Amino acid sequence: MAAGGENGEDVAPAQQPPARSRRRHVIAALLGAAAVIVGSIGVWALVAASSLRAAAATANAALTDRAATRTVSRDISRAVSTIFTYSYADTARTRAAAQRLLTGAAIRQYDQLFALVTRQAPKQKLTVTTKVSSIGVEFLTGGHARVLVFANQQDTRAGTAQTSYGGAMFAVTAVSEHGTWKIANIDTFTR
Amino acid sequence: MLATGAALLAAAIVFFAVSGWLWLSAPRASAAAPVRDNALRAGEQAVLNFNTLSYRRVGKDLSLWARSSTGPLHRQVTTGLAAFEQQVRQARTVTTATILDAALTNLNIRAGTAHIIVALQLTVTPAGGTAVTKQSRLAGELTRTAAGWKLSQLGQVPVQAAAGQKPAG
Repeated sequence: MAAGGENGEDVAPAQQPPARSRRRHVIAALLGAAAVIVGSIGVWALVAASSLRAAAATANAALTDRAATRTVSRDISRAVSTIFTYSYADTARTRAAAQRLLTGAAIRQYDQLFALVTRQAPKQKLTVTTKVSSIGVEFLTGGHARVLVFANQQDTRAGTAQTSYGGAMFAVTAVSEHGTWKIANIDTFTR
Repeated sequence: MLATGAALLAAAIVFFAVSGWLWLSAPRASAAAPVRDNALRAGEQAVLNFNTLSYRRVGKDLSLWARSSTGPLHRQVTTGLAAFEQQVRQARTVTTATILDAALTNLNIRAGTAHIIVALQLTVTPAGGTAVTKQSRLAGELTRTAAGWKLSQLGQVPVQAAAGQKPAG
């Protein structure tokens, strides 16, 4: 650039003191170096953020996310008591309500079970009321959960006015669909 | 050249600001998660210990009961220990258990308490008889001690809730 001084028109660079030109070079180099450092930290932050997000997506939020734990406990408690509460006079009503609370493999599991109920309940004049006595969330991520359920059943036979009580325990795999938790699988521990 | 350097730095700062914000706003692992996992693991083991009893090594089994418990349950275990040991030796039964599933129903880290429910499979072999297998629904209370989480209460979940009783969990 300084050599351009021989050309009569381009005199400005030649007039610039060499010290000032050197300073400009140094500042430019410093700016570039700063850009590299700041950019590198930015890249690190980007990588760290995405690994944090990946970890959170698979992390178990059972009990650590209180609100989400409460929601899945409440929804599954309601679903269990609804699908296992029926009257011999109107088993169709329970079956219809269950269709909204079940998904996946649970639909077939429930249909098999309920076919028995539809056949036998009217003969025995059976009314069954189910309540969840204990519920614990084992695993909870965004849309999936595994819940351990203890349920109590009260069976009443209209003909004899006899009432008996029974207890059940099973694990429910739940999935969240459109903001509500549905039962996707019922594990009754029969091996 | 100066302008190029300044533009590069400005672009880097913008990129840094965006990625830094993404990092700051990314969800962090909960400090409560390892506490929960510890409590559940200790609770499962304690419940298993409390459902394992052989007349052949009753002393060892019962000392494990004592070590797995604290508070009211510990007092129950340690009072009348000799008489109970005698009973087990005479009955000559062997009880073993398998955990089918377990979950905490609540966790209070500050108070150091948690509640656990356990689906258990019990196998009881009486003297000279055949083994009987049954399933059992258990609920217990865990309390954190200096030596880790221990059972302070343990019992079967009744099939018929007593009138006015609040359901567990």
